[in-house]
Formats: sequence, C-alpha cells, structure tokens
Amino acid sequence: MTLQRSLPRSRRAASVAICRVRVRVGWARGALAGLVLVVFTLLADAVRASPLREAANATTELDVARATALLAQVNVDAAAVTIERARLAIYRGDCLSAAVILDASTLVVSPDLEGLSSVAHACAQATAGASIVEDAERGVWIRLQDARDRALVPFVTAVAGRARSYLEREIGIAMPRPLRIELVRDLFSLAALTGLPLEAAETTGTVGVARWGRIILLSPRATPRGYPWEDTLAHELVHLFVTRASRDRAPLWLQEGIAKGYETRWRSPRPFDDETDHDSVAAAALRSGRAVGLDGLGQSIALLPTPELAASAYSEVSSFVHYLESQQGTPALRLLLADLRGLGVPDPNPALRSATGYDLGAWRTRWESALRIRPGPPPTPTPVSTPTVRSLLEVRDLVRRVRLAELLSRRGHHEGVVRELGPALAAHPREPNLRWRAARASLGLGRSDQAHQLLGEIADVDSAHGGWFALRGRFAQEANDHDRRDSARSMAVALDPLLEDVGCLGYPRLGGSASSLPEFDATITQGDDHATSTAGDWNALCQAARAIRRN
Amino acid sequence: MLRNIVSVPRLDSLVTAWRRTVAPPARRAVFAIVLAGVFGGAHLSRSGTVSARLGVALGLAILVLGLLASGIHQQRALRDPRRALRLVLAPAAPSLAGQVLRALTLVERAERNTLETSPTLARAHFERLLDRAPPELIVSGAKGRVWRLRWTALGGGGLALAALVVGPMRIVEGFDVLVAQNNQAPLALFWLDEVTVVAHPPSYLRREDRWLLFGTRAREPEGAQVSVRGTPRRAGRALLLTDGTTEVPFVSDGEGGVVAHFSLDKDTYLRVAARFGDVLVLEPNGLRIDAVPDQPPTVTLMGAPRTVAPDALGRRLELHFAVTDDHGLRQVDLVLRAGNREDRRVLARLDGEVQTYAGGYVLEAADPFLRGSFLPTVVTIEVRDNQPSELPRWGRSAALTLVPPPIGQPEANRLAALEAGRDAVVDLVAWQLDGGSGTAGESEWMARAAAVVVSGLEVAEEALPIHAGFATFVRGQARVLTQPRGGTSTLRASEDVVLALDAALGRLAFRDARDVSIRLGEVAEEAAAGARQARETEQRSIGLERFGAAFLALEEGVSALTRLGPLGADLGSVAEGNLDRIRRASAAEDLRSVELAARHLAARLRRPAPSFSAKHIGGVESSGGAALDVGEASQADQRFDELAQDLERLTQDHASEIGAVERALSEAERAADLEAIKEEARRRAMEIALAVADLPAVGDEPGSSRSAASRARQQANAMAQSLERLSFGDAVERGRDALGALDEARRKRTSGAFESAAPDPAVLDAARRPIAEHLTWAERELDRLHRLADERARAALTGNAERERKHADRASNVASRGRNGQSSLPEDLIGRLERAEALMRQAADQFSTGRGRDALDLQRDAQRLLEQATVGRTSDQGSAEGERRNRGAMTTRGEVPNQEDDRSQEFRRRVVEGLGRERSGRYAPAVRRYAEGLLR
Repeated sequence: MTLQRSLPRSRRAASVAICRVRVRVGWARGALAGLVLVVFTLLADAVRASPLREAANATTELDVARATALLAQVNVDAAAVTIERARLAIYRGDCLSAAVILDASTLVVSPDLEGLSSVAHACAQATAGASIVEDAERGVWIRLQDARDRALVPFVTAVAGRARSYLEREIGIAMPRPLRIELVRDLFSLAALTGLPLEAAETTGTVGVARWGRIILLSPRATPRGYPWEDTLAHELVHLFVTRASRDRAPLWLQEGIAKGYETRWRSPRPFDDETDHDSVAAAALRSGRAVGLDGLGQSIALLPTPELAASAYSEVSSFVHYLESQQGTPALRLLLADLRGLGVPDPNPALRSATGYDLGAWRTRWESALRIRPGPPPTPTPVSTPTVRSLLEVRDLVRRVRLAELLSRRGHHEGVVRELGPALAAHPREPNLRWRAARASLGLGRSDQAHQLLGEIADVDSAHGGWFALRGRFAQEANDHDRRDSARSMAVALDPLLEDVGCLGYPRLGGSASSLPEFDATITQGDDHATSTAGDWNALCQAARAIRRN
Repeated sequence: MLRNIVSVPRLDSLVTAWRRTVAPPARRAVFAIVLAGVFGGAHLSRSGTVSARLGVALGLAILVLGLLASGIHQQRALRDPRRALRLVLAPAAPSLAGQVLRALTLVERAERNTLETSPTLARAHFERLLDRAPPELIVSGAKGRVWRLRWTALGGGGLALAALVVGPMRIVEGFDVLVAQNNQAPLALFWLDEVTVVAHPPSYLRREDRWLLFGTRAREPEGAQVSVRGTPRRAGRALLLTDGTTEVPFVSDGEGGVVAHFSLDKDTYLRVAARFGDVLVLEPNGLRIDAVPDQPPTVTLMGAPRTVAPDALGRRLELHFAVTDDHGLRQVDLVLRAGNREDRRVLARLDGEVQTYAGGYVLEAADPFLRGSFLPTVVTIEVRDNQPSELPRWGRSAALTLVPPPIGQPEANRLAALEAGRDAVVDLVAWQLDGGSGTAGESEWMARAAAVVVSGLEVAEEALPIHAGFATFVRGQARVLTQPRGGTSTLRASEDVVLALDAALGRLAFRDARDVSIRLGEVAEEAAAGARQARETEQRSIGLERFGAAFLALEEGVSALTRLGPLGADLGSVAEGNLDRIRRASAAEDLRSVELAARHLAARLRRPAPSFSAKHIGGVESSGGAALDVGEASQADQRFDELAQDLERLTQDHASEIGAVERALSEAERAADLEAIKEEARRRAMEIALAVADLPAVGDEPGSSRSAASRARQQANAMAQSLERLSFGDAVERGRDALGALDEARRKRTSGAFESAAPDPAVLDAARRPIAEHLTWAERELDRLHRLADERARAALTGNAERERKHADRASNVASRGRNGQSSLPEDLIGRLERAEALMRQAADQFSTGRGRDALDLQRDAQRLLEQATVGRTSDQGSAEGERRNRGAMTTRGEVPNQEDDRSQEFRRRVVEGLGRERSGRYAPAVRRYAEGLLR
C-alpha cells in the first residue's frame, strides 16, 4: 500500500472519530480529540511524499492524468519541476510543449537535460502536423506520421485493445486509457521519437520501442515486405505493463523475459509461430560457454553484436523468467514487480528475496542447475536467418529467376513468369515466396486451378509469407471455407498488411491492369479472436496497398 | 508773444545780424559731421554682422535726427524775444542784455496792467535800451560761436576725408553691405582681374581640359573639377566661388593670384563673391555649367525579356549580348538570380576605354546553379562602366527567366528512357520463353530489342547527359543481343542482358535518388526558413511567398523522386507523408508546425538512406526482412567496371612503357658523335640560305604563288638553321615543307591566279634543286643516326619486346572479355582494342629485331587506340554533368609528396631530356622556348 492511499483514509478516520467524541463526551474531550487530530495531520504531512515526487512516479507509471493534477499543485518554479513538466508533456505525446518548456527555462545544462531536450525537439519536428486518431471506445490513441497509414488504424486498435485486455488480466494491473501509439514512417523518425541512436536502429532493424509512456511502432509501409507488427505491438505493450507495474525498476532480463513470454500469448497460436525451445537453447549456450548471461545484456538485446548472441540472449531470459514463474507461480511474479515498484532501488535482489526468498544469484544457480540436468539431445539454436537455399549457385539461380519473374510480371508476361519460376520451384518447393509468385502468375493467366495447386498447403511451405496467406484466404473464400479464410487473412494482415494481395483479400491487379476493387463482405471476421473489421476498413486497406509503389 | 507785446523790428535786425554771422559755419559743421558719420558707419558695416549693420544704421539715424532737432530748437529760440536776447545779446553785452531783459519785463507787466507805469513808457524804455546794442556788437558777440562751428566742421570734414582716403571702395562695400537684403548685397562688384576658368573632366574619361568664360554657358561631364583662377582687385577680401549653396574659398596659388576648385555634380551657376560677415557681395557675371551625367551602360540581351520554359531550355541556352557606354566599359558580368541566391560570373574585364562590346555565353542546362535552383532563375547581363565612384554604376539588360524543371525530373526522365530499353528486352525474353526461342525470327526480334535499347540510351542522353562508361556498358549489352556469345542460348543471353541492364539501372537510380534527395533537402530547409520568417519577423508575406515557392518545388521534386527506383520510391513516399503534414499544418495556419515538419523533412532528405535497414535479426522488436532476399541478380556492371579498370591500368602501364623507350632512344641518340659531319652540315646550311635568297621575303595574298614562295624561303631557312644545330629530324621536316611550298608556288603560278606578283619559275627551280639535294643528304644522315641509335639502344631495349607482348596479351584479354564475358563492350571498342593488340605485337617484333624507333611508332599508335577505348566506369558518376558539378569541389585524395622528396631534380632531368630529344612540328620552337624558360 502506498502512502498516497493511506493518507486520505487516515484523515477520514480522524474526522469520524471527532464526530463521535462530540456526541458522547463533553467539550474537554472534544478539545483533546482536536489536539490529537492536529498532531495526526502534522505527522501525516511529515511522512507524505512531495507532490513533485508523486507526479514523477505517476508519469513513470503512465498515469498522466494524475501526474497533471499533481503538477498543477506545484507552484515552485524549480528546475526539477520544469523537467517534470516537460517529461509529462512527452509522455502525453505533446512534444512541442515539452520543447517549449525546456527552451523557456534557464536550467543548467546537464546530459540528462540535453537528452530530454533533444528528444523533445526531434519528436516535435517528427510529429508536427501529424494526424491523430483516437478510438475512445477501445481507449487507443494513435498518431500517424504518415496519414496514409490511416487504413491500418482499425487493425492496430483491434490488436492493441485485445492484447491490453489480455495483459491486464494476466499481469493484474489496469493500464490507463488511452494507450498511446505512434506509427512512424521510418527509422529516422523512430530514432527521433525515442532518442535511440539512428545508427543503432539501422543496425538492429528496430521496428518497435516502448518509451516515454508510448509505443513507437514502425509502419509496415517502411519495410520492403512488412514485418510481424502485431506481435511487435504486443511485445512493446508488455514492456509498458512491466514499466507501470515496477515503476520502471525491472531489470532488462525481467523486462525482456516477460515481454518475450507474453508477446504471442494474447492470441491463438498461428502457423510458423516461433516454437523455439528456449530452455534447450539456453542449456546449450550454457554448456558451450557461449551464454550471454543475465547481466551481460547491455542496454538492449537488439544491440548485441551478433544475431546468434541476440537469439541466445532471448532464449536465456525467456528460459529464466519461465523457470522463475514455474517455481514460484504467476502471483510471485506480480509480487516481484510490486516490490520493485515499492522499493525504488535499481538492485532487484531485495525484491527477489522478499517475493521469492532468494536473490538473483541463487535463482541463477538453481536455474542453471535445472538446465544442466535437463535431459534430451542438445538442440539446434534457433535459426536466425536460415537461408532456404543451400548452395551459392542455387542462390544465384534463384535470385536470377525471381528478378526475371518480377520484371516479366510487371510487363504482364504471366506465362513467362510461370515458365521462369518452374525450375526454381522444382528446386525449392518449400519456398512460399516462389509459390506465391507462381500462383499469382497463374491467376493472371486465368488458371485458377493451377494457381491453387502451385500455392500448395501450409504443410508445403516452410515459412510465413503475407502474399501466400492472402492467396490462401482467397481460395478459401472461393471454396466457402470461412474458418480457413479468416485465419489466412488474419495471418496475412499480421505479416504484411500493405501488400496489395493482402489488403485486397487476395485479389491483386495483375499485369498492371486497372481492375476495380474486389467485392468485400459487409463484415468480415478477422482471425480467431472475432474482432470485426468492416468492409470499409478492408476497402481502405486495399486502396492504401495499391497506392504503394513496391519494387 | 513778444511781437504781440512790443514792437520787434529792432530786435529782428539784431537776430538777422546774428544769423547772418552764425548760419554759414553752422551748415558746414553739420555737413562735415554727417559725412564723417556716414563714412565711419560704412566702415563699420563691412564686418557684415547683423548687429554691426543695425548699430550703424541706428547711429546714422540718431546723428541726423539730432542735428535736425538742434536746428529746430535754435529757430524757435530766435523767435522768442527773451530767448533771442539771451542767445544773441548776452554773449556780446551781458549787462546790457540784463537791462534789456528787465525792460522787457516792465513792458510785459505794463501790458498786463500790473504796473502803474503806462505800457508806452515801458516800451519806450525797452526800445531805448535796445538801441544801445548796435548790430556790430551782436556780430562781435557771435564770433565765439562761429569759431566753434568752424572747428567742428573742420574736424568732421577731416574724419570724413580720412575715411575716404583709407579706402574709398571700403565705403562702397560698406554701403553695399549695409543695405543688403537676405544677406546678399544689391550692388554687384568685381573682385577678380585676369580671371581664367578651366574645367578638368574626370580622369577616367581621359579628356583634355577645357577653358571656360564667365558670362557664358558650358556643358561639362559630371564630376569635372572647375578651377577659377584670378588676381584679386582688392586685397583683404574673403573671396569665394559659389553656386548659391556651396562656397569654395579662393586660396593663394603661390603666384600672387588666387584659385578655387569646384566639383561639378549637377547643373550649376558659378559666381565669384566676397563674403562680409553674413553678407555676400557677388560679381556681376556668373558661369552657367550644365553637368552632363555619365549614363550607365546600355545592355541588350538578345531575346530578352522572355520566359524560357523547362522544355524550351534544352541542353543549353546560348546568350548573345551587346553593350554600349557613353565613356567606357570596365566589366561584363553574367548574373543568375533565384530567390535569395545570386551567382555573378565575370564574362569580360575591359580596359575602361572600350565603348562597345559584344559577346556570348553558353549556359548549360546542367549548370550547377540551375541544377541547384528550384525557383525561376533570372538571367541578366550586367555591365559596369569606367566610373570609379564608390558605388559602381551598372547597366542591366532585360531578363531571361528560366523556369527550372522540377528537381529530379531530368533524372527520372533519363531513367524512364533507359528502362524502356530494358523492358523491350524483357518483352523479348517473354517472347522467347513463350516458344520464340530458336525460331527463324528470333534474330530479328533480338535486333529490334537491341535497337530499342540503343534508342532508349539516346533519349536518355537527351534528358540528361550520361557518363561515357555507363553509355558504353549499355551499348555493350545491346551488342550482346545482336552477337550472342557462342555456347550460350539466345534465351540465356537475353536474360543476362535484362538482368545486366536492370542491375546497372538500379545502381544509377540509387545514385540519382540520393543526389535528388539531398537537393530536395535544401528545398525543404528553404521552406522551413520561409515559414520561420513568416512567423517570427514582420516580413510575413515575404516569408509565406518563400515557403510557397519552396513547397511547390518540393511537391514537384518529390513526385520525380518517387520514380527513381526503389530508393527513390521509398524516399519519395517518406517525403509525401511529410509534405502531407506540412500541408495540414499550413491549412491550419500553424506556421510553427509547418517549420518543424519542414525541418524534419529536410533532415530526412539530407540523409538519403532507406526507411528501414537491418543487419541483425533479433526478436519481434527488430526485423531483418524475409528469409529470401533477392539481392543482386547480375553483377555485369561490376564486371564491366573491373574491365574498365583493367583497361585504364593497361593504358597507364603502356604509356609508362613508351616513356621508357623514348628515354632509352633519346639517350642513345645523344651519345652519337656528330663532330665529323659538323662542317659539312654548316656548309650545306649556307648553300641552302644562298639558294633561297632570291625568293620573296614577304608574301602576298594568302593562297597566292608569291605567298607560297615566301613560305618556302622561311622553311628553307629554318632547315638551314636545323642543319647548323645538327638537328636532322627537324631539318628533314622543314626541308620537306620547303619543297612542298615551292611546288605549291609553281602550281599556283601556272594556275594564273595572282600572276603579276608571282615569282619567276627560274628562281623557284634554282631554289628547289639545292634544297632537294641537301634534304636527301639530311635524310640519309638521319637514317644513319637512327640506325646508330637503335644499335646503341638495343641492349637497353632487350626486355621491351617481352613486356610489349605482355601488354598485348592484356589487351587481348580485355577485348576477349569485352566480346564474350558479362562485361560486354561495343563492337567499335573491341575493334580498337584488337587493333591496339596487333600493333603491340608488331612493336614487340620490332623490338626483337632491334628496330626500337619503328617499335616506338607502333607503340604510340597502339597507345592512341587504347586511350580511345578507355571510357571510364559505370560507377564513376551517375551522369556526366555530375562530374562537372563536382569539378569545383576540392579533392582530398591527392597524393601529398613528402617534404624530403626533392622532386625538382627529377623535374629538371625530365625537362633536360625533353629538350635534348628531337621535336618536330610547328610548335616545336615554342615548346623549346617554354621549356628553357621553365629551367631559368
């Protein structure tokens, strides 16, 4: 229980006591009771935290309404207040106000202040004139740096609302409304809004960051072939939950471990979900001496020097948090976060000891022991970028054929595409990209059966591809298989929503012909969670996808 | 009253006598006093101050009035008997005067009946007493007064005389000053004698001085100095020269005269004057001068004023202009202005005396200023005349307004034209895949596709120049379509060409997109600056105008950017999103947001990286893209660049090899002993000089027989000099030229043209015979020297044959790769390489047989072919104009020699070798002189 809750309760109790004293005893006792009340009030004020500190905590916990109210009570024109006001403005997404507050102040320049000022100014530039969409019903606020991403909003809000509901239930805390999401056009803007160095963002390919009380998400428009934006959004949302629950005191291993664990739990399993056995990967890393370690994560897992180390680090933190949860239960995890929040120190050991009885060292020893005695063959590390083709010559030939197919397709030579991709498909039958291209070309030739055959089934491919699932959804629609249609469309949108095949429900324009938009159903259920997207939403997405120039 | 009481005739006679005595000296005294007062006042007035002039005027008035009052007073006194008796009688007989006055009192009392005596008795008493005063007594009594008056007149007259003697003109000047109105005296006076007036025109006009006269009217150039010189008529006057507002004092000229210099800057009326305090006394005559201004140059730019649309500009704009000035021209500038930017280029610096000038300038469409400008560029010719004032005077032509194409549009058009060629080959591949491959009509299809590729290249070059390396690459790929490699299917060949062109175009588009993006970043910065100016300054409308122009340019440029390949599409899409933000903020009149969004866009465009990139893949927070990345489908352009680099190296190596051979042969020639034939060469030189002595020394009309004969004489003399120097190569060349000129002279003579002045055929024949004879001898000696040199150099050139063969092998390799590999070259380039290879092999054979000089000639021919085949790389620059644009930038990749490297000796050695080597040709003497000058 925090002081801010106990104080009003104490005052109410004291007031009730006075009333009773006046009724039952005489004035002398009343005076005594009044004296007691005064002393009690003075004591309460003495132990009460300052409004500024409370406002800072409220901001960190994303409770911007309360932070605003608390800061309004502070009339002191001190440096700390200025900084806190600017920070709150950034949390609210009002970067321009933050920049103005900091510009107008006469604070002594410090690295922290410079960082804050830099973020405020860069963010103000990146968001000036941006379009804001607020879904009051779902409690989601989205700022679109590129207004053409408006077509994505219904899909983003649906995922955000669903994931937030799930996490509120699981983690046991309520997230203040609205949830603020920034959809930025490129890494340049993502770096501007987050303060992340641009070079680091470009090296790691960062697509989402949870910072300053908001989720900054890269638009799928920015990447050449989309990315799994739904899981990214959920992952970042988990970070916000952990930040709020722990008042941003959770160490990186705990943040990433919980986020990794929850990033896909909010939805039903999907084909090609990451089924890596993190315990096995962590055990293998431990045995080989290549483990990153919980305290070797640095500032971010994404900033680790190699993809292999990053994959190992994710597995290690996932395995450790899972072990902790399996040993102590989910309530212990909640208690750990609450303790971290209450203690307010960067060292997680006191909270760990308090919530679980052991400190980090002991838990690490226990976890490592458990991993060492784990039976089974050493697992293969999660492939980070496993190529589909095996030899260089094959790769060259594949690249040649794919590019030729692209060029032929652009000129409307679908027969040529099928012929060009034939040998490639024979050599790489499990490559969904090839199957999608070949099926698309067949559709262009009006050979629906051949297209269906070329596309194949899920068992015929070894990875997820937005276009592939979009065509699968189309064929399911034509076969009146609504379950398969919905799951395929859901999968496609999750992978690459702005691919024309995906946005237009598997009905792309082929050969540069200006075909009209497909006939959309009045209401289309999106995937397995039954969140509805209207025909208008799909229509808008289709138009947005068609407006994109993709090579 | 007296006359009413008593009879006065007796008294009147006394007064009359007194008057007759006193009046004349009194009048003289008054006159003298007035004269002295006036003269003295005139002197005082010359000080010219207001107070002095007022004081003098007041004093003179008081003096005159005082004298007048005194006269009136005296007249009145003489009319009163009592006062008259006191005035007239009392000075002469005071007791009698008292008795008379008392008697007069009795008369008055008797008349008023206040006395018991009768009035008659009293009057009789009075008259009796008067009778005792005869007029002579009165006259004698007035003598004292008369003397006083005489002295007064003398004193006043003396003072007046003295004032007159001191300076009679001073009195005139004083009066003039005294009565001046508005500080200008009414009477004009002459101040100077022997007046001379000279006008000195401004020195830059280089004109003679002109003499002027007062009382006339003149026209002089603005800025002229007018000098007035003269001798003062009266010393001590503050003389000056004035035009009514400006006064220039006269100063001594050191020769007894005075001089004043007046600078003429407008129409003026000059007068000499003297200043007395506040008052100016002018001379009667003035000098009216009309100032003739120096007109700014008149500039005519052909075709201006005119607005040139982007399509009308073409590749270049030819500017023709003509300039005139009334005095002289100093500088001609081409001025380009766009918004706040200005570029001023000096086209000509003139001597300031030329009054007309005409010229031209070719303004390239790819000019950096035009390329960097997104606003209409105003082109003017501005000319400065020779006036050396602080603010130079410029004449400006009417303007040509060049409306620039949207930034990036030329690049986009170029790419589109090249892509059209690629797409033609894509269509060919589709046809081949559809069963066309191997059919009879395939070669025709392929030739047609090749033609489309080449024509696409030409269209692209019309849009924007293409670097030679890139153009060669494209033409090389087109050749592959018409000449497929052996052992490769036609389908495969077509596919290779498609992918090669596609990869090269991708890289070209990438470079162009980066370039255009950075330029658009500057435009976005300008838009931000405009918004800031509108928001923060009072120049809101100007700021909004700046913003509007920049925003329009941004919209058009971004539209072009999106057509520049994947990177262009990506950057263009980013920019479109940002433009939308700016548009929205602008619609809401939120200029702060406009500025911020524009600055973000500027920063983004200046960093033309893709929206997204990843080197790592780690979890859902970062994405590395799908597993299959198509990457590079062809490395043909890279292979071509490697080939081009190999060719460049070969060309450089071969050039070095030629240099080594030249040095070896040169050293061998210098080692030859020519002393034995020195005397004979001198004798032959003398014979040649004598043989041509009868030829005309001076030519006639060009093309005439006489002109050719004169040239033959000069060449023959040059041959003689070369022989004296034992420079046989030069002598042979000159000798051949001389014979040729003689033959021409004979031919022209027989053709009949200019027959009258043609030389005699006998003279021509007499000159030809010895020249031919000595030429044969010189050729023989030259050949002998070459053989000797070859013999001496044989040892030094033994390794050259092998090295030349290696060079030939390298050339063969490059040609082979250009014909059969991915890095295809056009047929003409391959031909050059193959010819170069053949020449190299011949040169190697000549080296083997010890004929170094012949080998060297072959090497030079081969080198020329190699250099013609060197075209650069596809990656050198996206376009030729890009190279030009970057030419001004300082490169930092140059090799900096170490301080301890004394290269001067090496340079000296090279020059000495160059001098020692025999040179031929028209410029050989000039080259030699230049080199000798360098050494000095």
